[in-house]
Amino acid sequence: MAKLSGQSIVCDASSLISLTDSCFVHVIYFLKKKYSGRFIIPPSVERECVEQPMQIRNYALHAIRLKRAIAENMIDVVEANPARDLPAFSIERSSMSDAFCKSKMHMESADSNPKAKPGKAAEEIKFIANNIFHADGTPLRLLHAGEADVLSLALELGVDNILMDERTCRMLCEDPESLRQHLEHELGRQIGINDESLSAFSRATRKLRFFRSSELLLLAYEKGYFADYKELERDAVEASLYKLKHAGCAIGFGEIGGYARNHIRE
Amino acid sequence: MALSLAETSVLIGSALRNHDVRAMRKINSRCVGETTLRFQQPTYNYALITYVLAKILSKPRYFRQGKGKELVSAVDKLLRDGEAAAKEADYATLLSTQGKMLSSMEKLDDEDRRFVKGILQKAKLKIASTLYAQGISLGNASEIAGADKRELLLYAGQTMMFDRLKEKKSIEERMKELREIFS
Repeated sequence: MAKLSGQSIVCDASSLISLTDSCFVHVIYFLKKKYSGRFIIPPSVERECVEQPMQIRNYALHAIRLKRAIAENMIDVVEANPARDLPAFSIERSSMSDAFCKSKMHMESADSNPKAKPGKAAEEIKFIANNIFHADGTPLRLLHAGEADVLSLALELGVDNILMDERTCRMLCEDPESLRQHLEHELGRQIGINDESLSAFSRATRKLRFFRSSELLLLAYEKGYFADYKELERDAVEASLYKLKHAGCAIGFGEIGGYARNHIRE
Repeated sequence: MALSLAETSVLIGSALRNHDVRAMRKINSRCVGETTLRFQQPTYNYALITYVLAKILSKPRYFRQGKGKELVSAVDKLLRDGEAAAKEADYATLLSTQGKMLSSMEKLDDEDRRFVKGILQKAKLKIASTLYAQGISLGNASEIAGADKRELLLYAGQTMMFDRLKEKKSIEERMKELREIFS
């Protein structure tokens, strides 16, 4: 594959779902025309966002919107090399305790869809991520193969930008300590950290920058996406942020309100 | 401390016979918390069963034609079977018994259906949303609970879960980075 522009973004299913459910898939068209970057998804995201919802009456239209965006080359489906290892992971499975390795057998049996089987690098990411936190000696299985697939594809392609509305994976990469505290609070018990797994995971993902569909929409707004709303432009962009939030983008009401007050309505 | 599957069966049976919705919800919370920590199908099934039973017990319409009463006695019997199977670590029988409980509850709901989404689907979605709010990823929560990812996203979007946990990076910081990339 030719070297990708630094403006390329690997997209997770969560953001594409939020964008299509809010009828903002054209934000991708708009930005794609303005910049040299590509919007990239792994085949597992295409399955989740196009193939599966096509079978559900309620969601088929959203899937068709994305299918068209893929057909019109607005979104590229790129398959990771299934045999590729992640050099950043110096941690060896054999160096982990028995309890962690046993838990892996349990985790693998839960990934029942053979079509969704991730590549070697995604497997490594999922394994390490799911061994970072533990409660009462049991590792917490936090990450799914789909999310690991997105991280691994970005790392393989050397794309540092990830579009992801899903909160847990983002927090695991950006702020694992807050996630640990949150888990501790929610589960009412002490959550320990496997330092070896955490440092391997952080080493591999430290260069990644995460954005949500809300930021993508705001970027489009700054470049004139809402200009034809004229005097209603600011109302439209604020309303759009709330629409994205209600479609599942992990953004708080407080965050939207604060940003709108300070940057949209100022 | 975590409850054993046999103890859980006994507690559910007691809450069911007493029509104690609050106790049923409490058991549900424990089962969901246990599912977050370590996923086991029987525990997750009890989370589903307690959610649906709490709903059924709290709605008089299910009891108007006596069908609710029939269900309570059928599920109570199945819970005793489940307890016996759990005590003997016979998980295949326990799972099959739980399957019968879920089918009978779904049948009751289907006979007087008010919404497009059935009561069991709603339970799966609610549990998946709790798992996601607690810190399990979206994909994992939807897989564990058997709920559709898109529906889970929409459901999560209607909750305050993203206001309850502040993220380190503000929207301003993310925008600054994005502008640099797309300058």
